[in-house]
This record gives sequence, C-alpha cells and structure tokens, in this order.
Amino acid sequence: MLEADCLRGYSYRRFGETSYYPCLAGDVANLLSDAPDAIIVRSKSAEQSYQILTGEWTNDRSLHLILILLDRNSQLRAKKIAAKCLEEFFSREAVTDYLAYRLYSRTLPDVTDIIEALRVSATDACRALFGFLAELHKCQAQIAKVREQWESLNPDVFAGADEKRRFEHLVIDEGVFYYLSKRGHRGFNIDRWRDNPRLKQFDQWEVVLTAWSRPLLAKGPGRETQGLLFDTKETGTI
Amino acid sequence: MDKAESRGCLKELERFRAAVDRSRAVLCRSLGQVLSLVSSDNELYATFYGMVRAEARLPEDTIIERERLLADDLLFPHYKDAIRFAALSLDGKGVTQYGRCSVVLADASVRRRATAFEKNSVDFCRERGLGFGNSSSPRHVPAGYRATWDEKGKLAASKLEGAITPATAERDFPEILLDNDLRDFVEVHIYGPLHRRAIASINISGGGHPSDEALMLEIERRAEEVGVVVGKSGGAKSHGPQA
Repeated sequence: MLEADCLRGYSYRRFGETSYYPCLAGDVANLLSDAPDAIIVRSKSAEQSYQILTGEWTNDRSLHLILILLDRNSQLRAKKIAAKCLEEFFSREAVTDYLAYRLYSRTLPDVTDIIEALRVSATDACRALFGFLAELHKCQAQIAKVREQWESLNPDVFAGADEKRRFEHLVIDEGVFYYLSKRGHRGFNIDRWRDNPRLKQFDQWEVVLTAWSRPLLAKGPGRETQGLLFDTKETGTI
Repeated sequence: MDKAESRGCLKELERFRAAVDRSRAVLCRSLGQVLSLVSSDNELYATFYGMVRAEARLPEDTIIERERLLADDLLFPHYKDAIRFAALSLDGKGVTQYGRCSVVLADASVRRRATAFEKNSVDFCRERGLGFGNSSSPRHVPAGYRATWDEKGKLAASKLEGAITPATAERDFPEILLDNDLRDFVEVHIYGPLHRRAIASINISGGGHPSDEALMLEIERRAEEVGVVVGKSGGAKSHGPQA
C-alpha cells in the first residue's frame, strides 16, 4: 500500500508486514508497473485502505487459485494447496461473488478438468468450495445460452464493438452474467441494477439488459425489440 | 577514463564495462503478475484472467501519474504506452522492492528494442527540472545519459566510475551496478510487449502466504513449457499476503 504525505513524501507497505519503507515518486511507477488492476481507494484512514486492499488482494489471489485448480495440466500438489486456501478465502462473501461473477461469464474451456477439481475438493475441509464448483458445473449449459444471447446483441446499440466490450467488462464485474445464468428464468430482476452508477454511464443500459434477458426468460421479446437489437445475420430470420 | 587512470583503476573499470556489456535486463513483479505472464498462452487464463479490471485506468490527474507522464513525454514522445521498464543486472536479481520475482529477459528478445538509461527516469527528470516547473524548464534530455543496448557497458562505466577502486573485484560488480539499498540502477526501456518466450530465467525470493506455493509450482510448470528455469532463494518472512 502506498501513502503520500506532504511532509514525509511517499512510503509503501507490503501486505503482511507492518513497516513502511520510504520511496521516491520515481519508484511509484515501477511499483505499479504493468499492473492491470491499479485502483485509487478513498478511505478515512490508512488502516481502512489497507483492509480494502487486502480484500482486493484476496479476490485476485482466489482467481489465480481457482484457475490452477481447474486447469487440467496443473500439478496435483498445486491443486490441493489451491483448494485448501480457497476454502479459507470462501469465508469472505466478497470472494465467492468475485469468482462467480467471472466464472459464470463464459463456459469453461477445453483445458479445464472440473471433475478432477471436484474430486480434489471432495473433503470435509472444502465443503464451500465443493458446493461452488458443483453449481458451476451444473450451470454450464445455461452459461452457454446467456453467452450466446450476449454475442448476438448488435454492437450498434452500444455505439460500436469497443463500447460493447467495455459494457461487457462492466456487466461481468457487476454480476449480470452470473445472475442471468444462475437465477435465470425466475430470479433475474432488472431492478437490481436500477441505481447502479456504473451501468448508468451507458445510456442504453436498460434497453440492452431487457433485450438480453428477455429471450432467456419463458416469453420471447417482441418483434420490434429484436429487430433493433439483434444481428439478424447471426440469429437468422426472426 | 582519465579519472580512473589517475586513480589507478583503469583496468578494473574496463573489466566492469565488459561485465556490464554481458548484463541482462531484469524486471521485478509479484507472484501473481509473473504467473499471468507465463500463462499468456493458457486458454483458461485468457478466458477468465484477461478480463480483470480490463476497463480500469488510473486517473491521469494524480501527482504520480503527472510526474510519470512528464518524464515519459520527454523520453518517449508518442510511444510511451509501448515502453516496459526493467533494470540492468549481473546476477539475475532485479530491484526486489518492486516485486519479489526477478524476471531475467533473454538477450535476443530485447537487444533490438531496448535502450539503457542513467537511472530511474522520473527521478532523473525531476532532479534536473526537465519538463517540471514553469514553461522555461528544459524540454530535452541532455546527451550522454542514454545508450543503445550494445553500448550499455559504456554508459554504466561512465555513471559508476567513482565507485570503482583498485581493490574492486569481479564479485563486487553486481552490487555496484544495481544497489538495492539505495534503489540506484541503470534503467532499461524496452519497446513493445513481453511474452513468456522473452524470459530467460526467473528468480523468486522469500515467501509469505501459504497459497504462494501453489503459484510458485504453477510458475515452474508453465515456465518449463518454454524452457525457462525457475530458481528460489530465501525463506518465509511473514504469514500475510505479499505483493
């Protein structure tokens, strides 16, 4: 964690340590070099910032660990360590949400061996992890449907493919893929995101969410909405 | 050279220059960052890790970003986003304060796209007032502080001549070139992205959280796929998460 003080200059503290080390402005860029996930935290105290960053570290580490556990080619020893640590991290609700929001955004690729991951976590010591993986395994067909529906949304509605990609990252981060895949049919409610300031940055967010989710529910969308939002070349004649 | 000759250490300085000519570019990163780098061909990583805060950007109006931008604009006009930073090293250890995995880059992968620079470029610009302060601040980096990859030994010898004495032995060279206590080093600027095939070796120091071992095993496995050797040094220091 970095701290800037107008009298003492910059200092940094590593997670797990209590001491601060002085550093120069030039070091800061190197400390954060190539980090894809640098964030600015606004908090009341250094300790509160530290807690927030510890949570962020735990999320990131958990993602690494679950990918190790799911990878068909990872060593068994690495998978066992990963499973044990993940179970510990799963006591934080934020961790399960963080992982679920990402892992429910696409179907698992061929390099995955979820059966092996379930086997490794099938112990009394890894109950939460086992439940999470079993549910993820069960939802693969629905995840595929949600993804397919997303891909068929016409990029023009987002003002281009780049904006669609930006919106995609956002809806993954906010759990929309997860809620559509997991809760699907009956549990999905657009009102959940009505006050979300990040989604509201996009003028068309509600139109998009409605058009995306409606075909996944029991009743299909109206012809007008489909014509506006879906690329008919990909989806065929409606 | 004249100074070194008058101090009776010209031979030692020549040996130092020749050693630095064989030095490598080393960058230091956290375990997680190195795992991502060596996983760049892995489908699971590409699918689920590539999306981590992909839309996040640090606002450019922070003091840190402003200073970085000023230095970058002077040194890399119009191509700053394509530059990766590393340090010259003779023993495979980088500036470990920046991350405890030292990633040694293969000479062949950087030689045509890297230059060596006197020191940390932000500190360099700030110390000389380059681009900082008012509009009359100098806008050009003076000559003599940046060298092509093949001339990095000359640059380092010119910078560190004062640290060489008649008593300096070969074993002292690594610490003279990269002083981790003072964080003084010769900065390397590499143009373009880094792929796992650009790595020659990885040195991991210390260890903290129990989950580190899983990441280290994976780094070893994935590095082995492309013939990269992973070395470990030091023991566990603490039990909390570490960068």
